[in-house]
Amino acid sequence: MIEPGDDMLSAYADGECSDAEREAVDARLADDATWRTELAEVEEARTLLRALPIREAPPGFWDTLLDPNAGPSAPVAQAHRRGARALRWVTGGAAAAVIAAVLLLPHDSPGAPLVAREFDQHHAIESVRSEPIVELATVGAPLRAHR
Amino acid sequence: MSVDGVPTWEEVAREHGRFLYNVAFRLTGDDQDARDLVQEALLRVRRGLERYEPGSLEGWLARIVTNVFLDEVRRKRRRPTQALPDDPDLVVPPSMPADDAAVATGLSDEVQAALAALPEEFRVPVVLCDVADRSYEEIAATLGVPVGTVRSRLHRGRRMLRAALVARGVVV
Amino acid sequence: MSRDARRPVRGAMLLFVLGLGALVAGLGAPTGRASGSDAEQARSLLERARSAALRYDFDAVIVMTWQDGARSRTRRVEASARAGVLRLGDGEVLGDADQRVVGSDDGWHVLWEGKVAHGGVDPARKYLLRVREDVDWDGRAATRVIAVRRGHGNPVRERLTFDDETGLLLRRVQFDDDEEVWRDMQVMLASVPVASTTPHSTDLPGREPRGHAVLSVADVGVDAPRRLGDGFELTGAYRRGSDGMQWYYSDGLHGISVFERDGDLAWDELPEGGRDVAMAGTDAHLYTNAAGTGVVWASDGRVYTLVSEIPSLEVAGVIADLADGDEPGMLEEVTRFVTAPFSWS
Repeated sequence: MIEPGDDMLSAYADGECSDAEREAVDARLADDATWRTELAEVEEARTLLRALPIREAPPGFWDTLLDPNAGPSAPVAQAHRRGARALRWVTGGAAAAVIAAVLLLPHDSPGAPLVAREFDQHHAIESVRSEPIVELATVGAPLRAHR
Repeated sequence: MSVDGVPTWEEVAREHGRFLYNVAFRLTGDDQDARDLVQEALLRVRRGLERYEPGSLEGWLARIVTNVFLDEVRRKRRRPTQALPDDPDLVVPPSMPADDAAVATGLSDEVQAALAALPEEFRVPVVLCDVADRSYEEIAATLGVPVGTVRSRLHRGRRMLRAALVARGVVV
Repeated sequence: MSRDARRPVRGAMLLFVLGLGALVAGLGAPTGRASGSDAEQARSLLERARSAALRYDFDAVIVMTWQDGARSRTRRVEASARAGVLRLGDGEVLGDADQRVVGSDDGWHVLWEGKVAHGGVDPARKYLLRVREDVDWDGRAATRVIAVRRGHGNPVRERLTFDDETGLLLRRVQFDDDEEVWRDMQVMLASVPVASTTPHSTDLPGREPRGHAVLSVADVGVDAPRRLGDGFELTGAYRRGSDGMQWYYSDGLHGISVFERDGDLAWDELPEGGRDVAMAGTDAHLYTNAAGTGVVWASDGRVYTLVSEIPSLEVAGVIADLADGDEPGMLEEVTRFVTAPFSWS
C-alpha cells in the first residue's frame, strides 16, 4: 500500500487523489489523530479561501476599458475650424497622467523615410515635455551620420 | 462579433471580467496592481485570440493572468528596489504594514491579508486552486511544474495561511 | 553648415516656434519619497530649463556625441533663439505658438501643435537626484544635477548642467549601464544670452491639417501596456491619422515612443544605415544616431518602431517586455540581440 505523505491531505481534500492514494489516506486517518487534525486544518483553510467574496473592480473600470470612444470629439472639430491656431484644450489631471494633443502628420513625400519621421516625432514630443533645444537639435538628424 | 466560436476580446472582458479581476486581486493583493494586471492580461488575450482554440476559456484566462503576474514578479526581482521575497520556511508571515492593519476588520479581509503575505510561489497555486478553481493538472501546466510540486506548494501554502490566521487570533 | 546634396528631401530647414504655453510642468506632484531639497531643486531646475529658451535671445552651436557600437560619433547643429522662436540648421522663421515645424522642399510639416496638459512622471521615483552648485561650464556659472538610478547598484545615469543666470540647459550627459558615456549634448553659447523683449506672432502659410485625432491616455483601454521596462509609464497616446498609433512612455527624465501601424514591413524601403538584428525570433532593424536608438520590427500584421534616447541595453529590456511573455528564454535572446550588433565589424 502507498505510504501517504502530508502533501496528500490537500489533494485528498480537493478530490485530486488516485483511488489507491485515497485508500491509503483513509487508512491512516482512521489510526492517526494528528492526521485527522491536520486534515481539518487544511479543510478549514480551503473553506475560508473559497468563501472569499468575488472582489469587484472599482467603479468605472470596465466602462472606461470597454468604451474607448468615450473621448472628447469636440476639440477635434474646433481644431479644424481654427486651422493654424493652437488648441486651447487642456485637460485636468486625474489620477493617471493625461495628455491631450493634436498631432498633425507630414505628408508622405516620395522617398521620405518613415523611420526618420518617427525619430522626429518622438523628439518633437520630448521637446514639448522636456527641454526643447537639446531635443530639437536631433530632429532632422540623418540616420546615417556624416563622416 | 465572434467568428467560428472565437470570442472577441470585448466579449471576453464582459463575460469573464469579474472572474479575471477577482483572480488578479487575489494574486496581487492590491486594487491598483490588479487593474494593471487585468489590463495587461486583456492585452495578451486580444493578441492571443487568433491562436485560441475553443476549450476552457476560464482556464486559458487564468493561465494568462498568472503569466502576466509572474512576469512582473520576475521583473521586479531582476531589478531589486525593494526587499527580497520572504523566506518560504517561515510559517508565520511578517506582520502587516500599519495602514493595512487598520483596514482589515472582517474575516474576509483577514484571509485576504494572510493570502497577500504569502510568498508568491505558494500564493499562486492557492489562488489558482481555491479562487480560480483550476485542477491540479491545469495548475501544473500553467506553472510549468510537475503535479507533485503543485500538491506540495498548495499544501504548504494553505498551512502557512492558516498559521497566519492563528497568529492573528482569527482562528483557533 | 554646408548642405549635403544627397540629404533626404525633408531635411534642410528646421524651424521651431516655441509658444509660452507650450512648455508645461511634466513632472507631476512630488511623491514624498524624494530626499528633500536636492530633489526639489533638481525639479525646479528642470522646470526652469523648459521655458528658458523662450525667454532669451542667443546663438549657440549644439555639439552631439553618441556611441554607435564601438565608435563615437559627433554632429554639430547651429541654433539661434529670438523672441520665443528657435531656429536650427539653416532655418527661416515661421510659426505660431505651441508648434514644432519642420520645413522641407515640399512645404512645412507640423510635428506638433497643441498644449501638453499637467501630469507626468516624477523622476525622483526612479532616480536619486543630487545637486552640485558652483560648477563652471564654458566660462559660465552653472549648477549640475546628477541622476542616479535607484537600486541595481545605483549607477550614475545622467548629468545635467544648467546655466545659473538664464536657466538654460547647457549640457546633458547620459551614461549606460557600465557608466560609460552614452550621449553627450553640449550647448556652446556663441553669444551672451539677452532677455527677449519682442513679442512674436507669425502665420504658417499653405498648411492644411493632415489627419489627426485627440486622444487621452484615459481612453486607451487595453491597447497598450501601461508600463514598460524600468519605470517607464504610459503618459501619451496619439492617433496618427491613418498611420496608426504613437504610444509615449516616460520615466521622468527620458521618453520612449512606440509607433504601431497596420500592414507589412517593406524591408527594402527602410532607410539606409542601421543593422539587421534578430530579436526573440523576429527580424528587426536597429538604428543608432544622435537622436537615439530606433528599432523596427513587424509582428502579427503590424509594424512597430521603438524610438528612444535611452541606452541600448535598456531598449533590450523594454523590447523583452513588449514581446509575448509566454516565450521562454526571452531575456537571453534579447540580451544576445543587444550585445551582438555592438561588436564592431
